[in-house]
Amino acid sequence: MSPSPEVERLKEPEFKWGKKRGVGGKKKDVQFYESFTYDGVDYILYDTVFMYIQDELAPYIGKLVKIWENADKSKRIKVHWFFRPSEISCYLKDVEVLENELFFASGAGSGLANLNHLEAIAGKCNVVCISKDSRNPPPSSEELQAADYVFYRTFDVKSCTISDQMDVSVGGLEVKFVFNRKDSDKTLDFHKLDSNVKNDERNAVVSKETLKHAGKNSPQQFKNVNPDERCNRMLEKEHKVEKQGQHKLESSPVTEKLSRSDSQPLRNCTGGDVNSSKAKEAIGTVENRDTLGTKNGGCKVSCEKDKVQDRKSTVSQVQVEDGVKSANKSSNLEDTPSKRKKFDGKVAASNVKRTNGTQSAIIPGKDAAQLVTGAISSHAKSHSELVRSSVVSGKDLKLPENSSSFEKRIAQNFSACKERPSTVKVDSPFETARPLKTNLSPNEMRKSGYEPDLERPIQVEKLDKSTSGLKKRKLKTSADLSKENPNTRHDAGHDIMDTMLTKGSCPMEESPTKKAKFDGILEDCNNNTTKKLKKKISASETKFSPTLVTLNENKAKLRIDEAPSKENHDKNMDITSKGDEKEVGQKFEVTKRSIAEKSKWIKLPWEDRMKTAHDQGRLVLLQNLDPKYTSGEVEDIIWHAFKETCTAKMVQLTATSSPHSGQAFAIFKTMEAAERVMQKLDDGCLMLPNHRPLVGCTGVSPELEKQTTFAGHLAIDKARHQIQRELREAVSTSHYSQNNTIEYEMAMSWCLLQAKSDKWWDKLYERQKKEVNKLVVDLK
Amino acid sequence: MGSAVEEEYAAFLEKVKRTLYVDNLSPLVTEAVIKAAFNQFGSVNSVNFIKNYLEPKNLPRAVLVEMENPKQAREIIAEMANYPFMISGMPRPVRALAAKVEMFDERPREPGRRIECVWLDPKKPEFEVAKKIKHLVKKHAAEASVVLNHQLEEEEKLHNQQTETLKAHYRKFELIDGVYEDGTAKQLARHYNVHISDA
Repeated sequence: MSPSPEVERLKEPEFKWGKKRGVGGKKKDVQFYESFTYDGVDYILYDTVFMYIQDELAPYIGKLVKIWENADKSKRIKVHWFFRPSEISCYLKDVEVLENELFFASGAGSGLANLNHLEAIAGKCNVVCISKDSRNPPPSSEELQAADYVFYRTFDVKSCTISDQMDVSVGGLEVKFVFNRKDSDKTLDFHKLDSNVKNDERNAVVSKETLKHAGKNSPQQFKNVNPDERCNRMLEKEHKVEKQGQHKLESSPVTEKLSRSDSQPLRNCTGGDVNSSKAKEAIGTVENRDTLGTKNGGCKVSCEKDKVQDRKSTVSQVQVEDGVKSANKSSNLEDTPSKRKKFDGKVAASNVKRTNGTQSAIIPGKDAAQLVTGAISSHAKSHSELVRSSVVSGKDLKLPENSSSFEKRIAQNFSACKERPSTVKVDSPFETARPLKTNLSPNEMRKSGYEPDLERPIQVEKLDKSTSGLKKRKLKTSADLSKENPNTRHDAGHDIMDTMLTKGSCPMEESPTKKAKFDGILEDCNNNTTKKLKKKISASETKFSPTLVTLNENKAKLRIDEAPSKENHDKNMDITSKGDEKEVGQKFEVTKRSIAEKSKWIKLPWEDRMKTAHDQGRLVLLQNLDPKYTSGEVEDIIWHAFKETCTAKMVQLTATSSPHSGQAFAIFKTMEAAERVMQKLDDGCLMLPNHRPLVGCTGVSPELEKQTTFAGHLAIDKARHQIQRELREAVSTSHYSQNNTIEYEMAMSWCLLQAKSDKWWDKLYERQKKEVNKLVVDLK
Repeated sequence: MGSAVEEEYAAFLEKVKRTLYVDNLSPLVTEAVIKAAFNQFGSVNSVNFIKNYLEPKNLPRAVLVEMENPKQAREIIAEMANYPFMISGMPRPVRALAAKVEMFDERPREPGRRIECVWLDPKKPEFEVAKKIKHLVKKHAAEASVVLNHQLEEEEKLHNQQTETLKAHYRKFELIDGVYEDGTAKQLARHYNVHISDA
């Protein structure tokens, strides 16, 4: 198990110790360290690393649990292992394993951890813990996207059993080092500033988009007028509250990204409303807010994109204030919104969650940050997650996302979710806004049960009082009040819906967690409230999907990158989900992913990798690419179109290859991925720029054996004499042939043939181009 | 950042200009042989063989030869177009062309290139057209493959033909040699009363 310490290196990589930790050993001659820099990479204790192993294609993965230097200056590390499913396949039996899942070693005995030479580290490995354990800070969608591997289960090296429970310590390692790191080091101020600026920019863009959407949505919303009245009232109240809170909602539009968290109350209402408005439109109260709603919707869209970042920041903030759990929740919430978007039904849930959570979001105004000190508690997140999970999976209540913070919550989601009073900056409001989208979600129901205006602090308070799960949202918006109002209206509408629902089922809190409950609640609500509510709900649902679409579109427009991450999240969350699918007919720009260069230390020759991939069915040949694309760009295209990572290689152009259709090999991680991509390319049409539908087919295996004979180079077996001598000498040197030799004469034959073949290639490609052009004309 | 990317790309374009694409190479040709061959005309900076993953493996190899400056590259290309140049065998000459950007394996992204993709809606007419294009692309690939095979056959044919020619020439030389060696030539010369040198 222990990796070979013999690391082949041409040159000694640079190395520098970092923070010292203490000394140990009998003679106090062992120096422990907390961090070091090796080969340009900073390693910190409890980082996960690849360990180089000779003759092993797949390196081992382990967590650094001890770093020290001996008296003889030798550098050692203690590595706590992760297992790949393939390594413990005989114990896995029929246990289902995620595509990139690892198992953390637990128990005691050999295989748990090893001491190794520090030089055996081959690189950093990004492993994210997706455990639903409440102690584990849930990863953001970005983090999940960037993750090389995920894990949530342990493998006991002694009993050879799998478990998803983690005690105080796992294999002797404190559990807090097993879980994700809290990013509490992020500074709130930074987030605010950052978010504000970004939000502004993005908001502007988003708002435009959202406006469009809102415009579309508005009619639907109108339908839901009934709730509007309540909403309006609520809004008024909210306004008051907001004024009192002196929060500036102005920034909310700007901080669309943040808006999720920041303006969650307001924006949530609006933005969430917009998104949800489509869905929630039924809820009504959107009319007034239409404009606002649209803006909000835009915000939401942006928020979604931004959510990841914002959420992170919010999470960190929350953590600081409320502690890890709240942070987790918030992060969950953040993630959930995106998921929600993906899942229409989920969206509603998420909205509810948001409302539930009492997060105080500070919305930075364009100039100043608006602090929405709403208690958008993590509850909302948890709720939303739960809802999502329930909605998404429908079948499984696993609530992967939620699970991290909500494992127990499932039963008592709301109670668990009860927002911890955390002051979430603008981001959190946005999140709440998302929940709004998911008006149907339990949270909303809860809120509604309490009061329609959950967004407003008053509502929040009420909610809090009534249900711990509800979070208080204090919206402080001065200029954005109007926006807020619309938002609030939306929210109110949602709330109303919720309330109706809640009426049916008093324990709204619980309902949010489970879909089934949700449904039941909805029914109850319907019964309690009126048929209108049902209609609204259905309308909202139906609307919701469009909103999702719009969201997706927005995402696509805004940035594909973010969307993918979200999608990834979704995937992770719901294994079965297909969040990665781009909306049909929606243009998306392929941008360079920010993912760090893939582990460069893997330097297997491409031929070998291709051969292996081909044998395992993971090799796909892509055709009709622009020959100008680089391998990296092909990878990006694949990523954005399929949410699959692959290693691509453009086939180098030669004199005889088609100048029109570039080809590339793509090696996917699994055969399923490769087949899915091929299937999708076959069934659908991925149109690249310049009217190039991408074509995918099974890659052919390269033939590795070397060719030794060559048409055109003559050798005479019994060559002994003049010509032969001349020939042999000629072989050894490169030369121009003289025109008084046989060689020259023969060379001319070759030149003639070459000219002929050039001609036919030209003709062929010319004709092909014409044929394609003829069809392309129809496209325009 | 942007300028750095652009600079990198500009540097790459410079490299392309001083690079030759040489094909019709025997598989026996190695980097050292290439360097020796092209150092006659200048100074070779780097040699990169183009890997052939797709085509039949008996396809001649191709290589990218980076010279010291674009002038050298241009001169070599002009020379080789006029005179058959042999590397590691004969009589099939190699061919030199100006390298193109797309021939390079590791190349930087072109700055500012935007790639916008879209999943076409199956209900729209474009979808059908796109399907046709996809079909056409596959057909074209197959056509190219056929043409390539045809070319290889032609080359094989020429190769065999030249082998025959060479063998015939070789036999003649052998015959002549034999005539000289066994004294037949001298006898005949004496018989017809001519000098061998006149024959």
